[in-house]
Amino acid sequence: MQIKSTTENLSLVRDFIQETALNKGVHQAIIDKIILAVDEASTNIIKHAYHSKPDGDIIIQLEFTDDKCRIILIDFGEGFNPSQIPQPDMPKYFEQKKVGGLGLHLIRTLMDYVEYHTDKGGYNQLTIAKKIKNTAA
Amino acid sequence: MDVTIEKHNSYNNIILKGRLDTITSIPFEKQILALIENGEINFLIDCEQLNYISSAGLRVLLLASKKVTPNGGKVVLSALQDHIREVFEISGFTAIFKIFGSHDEAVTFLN
Repeated sequence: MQIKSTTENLSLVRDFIQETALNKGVHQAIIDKIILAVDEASTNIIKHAYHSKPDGDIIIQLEFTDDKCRIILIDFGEGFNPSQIPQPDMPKYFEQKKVGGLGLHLIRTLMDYVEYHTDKGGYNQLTIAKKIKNTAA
Repeated sequence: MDVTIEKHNSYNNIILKGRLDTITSIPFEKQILALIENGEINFLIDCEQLNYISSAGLRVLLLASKKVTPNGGKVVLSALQDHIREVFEISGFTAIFKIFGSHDEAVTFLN
């Protein structure tokens, strides 16, 4: 699916994942985690890659294999270096003034695989994946 | 997202119903910060009917807690649904907030 970079569109993304994953027989508890991770990733793209400008494009692809759900998010905004955003240490995090980096922390914790790539051709690609269990299993 | 605020003698009971996400956390942040500016320091966040929270929602709770803690205040949570509790656990927020199984336990703690 492709959306414009507004937070109002986040509900479309959630519905898309919910419907697609449920049709594939993914357990709801796993779908909840995937939805939250993609919600956080899309929010980060809107806020940081597009600086909350509403006319950016975000492409979201969902791929399923027998044991994995892979989500690819592509944007054409400003890239970032994820290694410069450390995992927050919660008790210390509370002491810090700045309240940020939490979305990426959640994505890293919720998903089994996270890879970010800024292409010189002018796009950024975030690939995240989660092991899935089928409801039939 | 519905936010109901009940004022009690020693605390404010805030009932969250629905989704606390990127969009709904904006008005919620304004509401809770307005209460703090009015001198309120103790908050019980009743999460029994909260069915979604993202980092934007966690951030508001953290912000509120940071603001009231230096004044001896507390932000505590009660009755989290299992999948919401899981978000608190994986994000490390269980180390920051006191979380009670029931509303009554949280009230006893605040009184």
